[in-house]
Amino acid sequence: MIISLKNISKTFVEDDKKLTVLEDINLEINEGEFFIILGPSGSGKSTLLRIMSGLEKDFSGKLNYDSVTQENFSFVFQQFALLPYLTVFQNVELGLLARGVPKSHRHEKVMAELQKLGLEKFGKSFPKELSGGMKQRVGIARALVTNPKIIFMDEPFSALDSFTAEILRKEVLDIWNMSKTTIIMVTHLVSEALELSDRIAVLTSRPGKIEAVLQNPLSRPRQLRSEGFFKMEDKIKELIKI
Amino acid sequence: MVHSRKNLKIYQSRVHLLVTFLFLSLPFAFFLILSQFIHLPATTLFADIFGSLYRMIIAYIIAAILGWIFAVLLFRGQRSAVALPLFDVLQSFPTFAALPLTVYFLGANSATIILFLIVTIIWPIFFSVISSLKLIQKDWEEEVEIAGLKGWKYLVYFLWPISIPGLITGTIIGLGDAWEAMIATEIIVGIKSSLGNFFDSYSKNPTITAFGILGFLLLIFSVNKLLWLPLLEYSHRRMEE
Repeated sequence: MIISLKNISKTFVEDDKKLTVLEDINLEINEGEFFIILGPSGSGKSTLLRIMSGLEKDFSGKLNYDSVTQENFSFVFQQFALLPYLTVFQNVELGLLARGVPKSHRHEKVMAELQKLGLEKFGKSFPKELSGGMKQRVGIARALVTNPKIIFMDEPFSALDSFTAEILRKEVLDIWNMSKTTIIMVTHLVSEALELSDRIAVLTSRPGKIEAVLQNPLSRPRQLRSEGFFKMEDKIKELIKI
Repeated sequence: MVHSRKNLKIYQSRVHLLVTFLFLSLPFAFFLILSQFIHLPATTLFADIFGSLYRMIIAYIIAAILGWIFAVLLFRGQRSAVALPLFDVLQSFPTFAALPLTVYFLGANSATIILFLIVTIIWPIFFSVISSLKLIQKDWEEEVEIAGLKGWKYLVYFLWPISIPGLITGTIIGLGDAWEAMIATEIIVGIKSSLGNFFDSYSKNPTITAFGILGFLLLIFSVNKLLWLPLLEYSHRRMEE
């Protein structure tokens, strides 16, 4: 177990009105697993991810990390969150720079990640010069470069077209297969959750509650058009009442 | 898709840079010719010009540093809620009302003029930098937090680049006001080696005054068109997503 959550709740207060977005969340996530938080819009799944990653600090309940700190985390954002005034190389380099890694070592590590993601020719490009798919590749390279123990991903493929999303999902799976880094990802797509996950936490909406935590029984590599896949898809859709 | 990176440069080529420097020297050539025309030793005229420029540069550097620091300290949080309305009132303060008192305490010297120039330049810089920093996206903040940027690295690699468009916009507005404040203050204080002194000396000669104003406008136009405006455009292009 690398992260555990006990009775996590989150309420936003605006103009004296209270809005509970998460209620009584209990979860345990194991080291090296691909864990997916699945839910419809408004189920608080992104808020839950931010609480787990330490970005959201105002919540009730207990959040425990086992032998990891925020230094070991990376985050892949839905809208990429690349700093527009930095080049691709500099964006990927940022985490290493913050950790005081020497320049020569930084260069080596950044180039290795850019190569892994097919970005080696775009190190000097600025984010605005890249397509959405390439921007997210930069986001993934940036997340990998610090050798994190946990990578949080907030709907990383939802801003991309379906073809690019499909390619990137496969690349993320390849990276995860090689590194076995813990990945905790949020999505609203049942098929995406089934394709990638070891386990799936299904959230219901307003307030977000855990309906079920399912072990994904499908063997890897996943056959996306198999009977088992469709059966699981129907089961999950039934759970979240789609 | 990868576009040309050329449009991210301030100046598009070495020739562009060279022409810029040539144009920046144009007002000084004009003043050299003017000095011959009005039979004023070039050294005296240039002492006036550089005396004023020197005070302006000193004031600008101090105002830019202080304006930027205040903006970074006050652009968000509880302090912002208190400080911004207060500073908004302060920037409307009629500074010339305090000029006699300042002369009384500091004397009729460069320090008084520099102080007045600082007060004139600092507000546009402060508010423009604030407006740039207010545009920071939540995602960027979160990424920087996850990356672990803290302390001086947070300032250098995050707040400073984002604040540059505001700093340059504030500079253009602030210097625009400051040129006027500089001439007025120099005339009122009666300081030697200044453009204010030049205009005061030729106050009864409309031709020389007109040529002086023309040279002065040429100087302002050159600095803005060839330095600040390209920098402003460049800084905004850098922030495009």
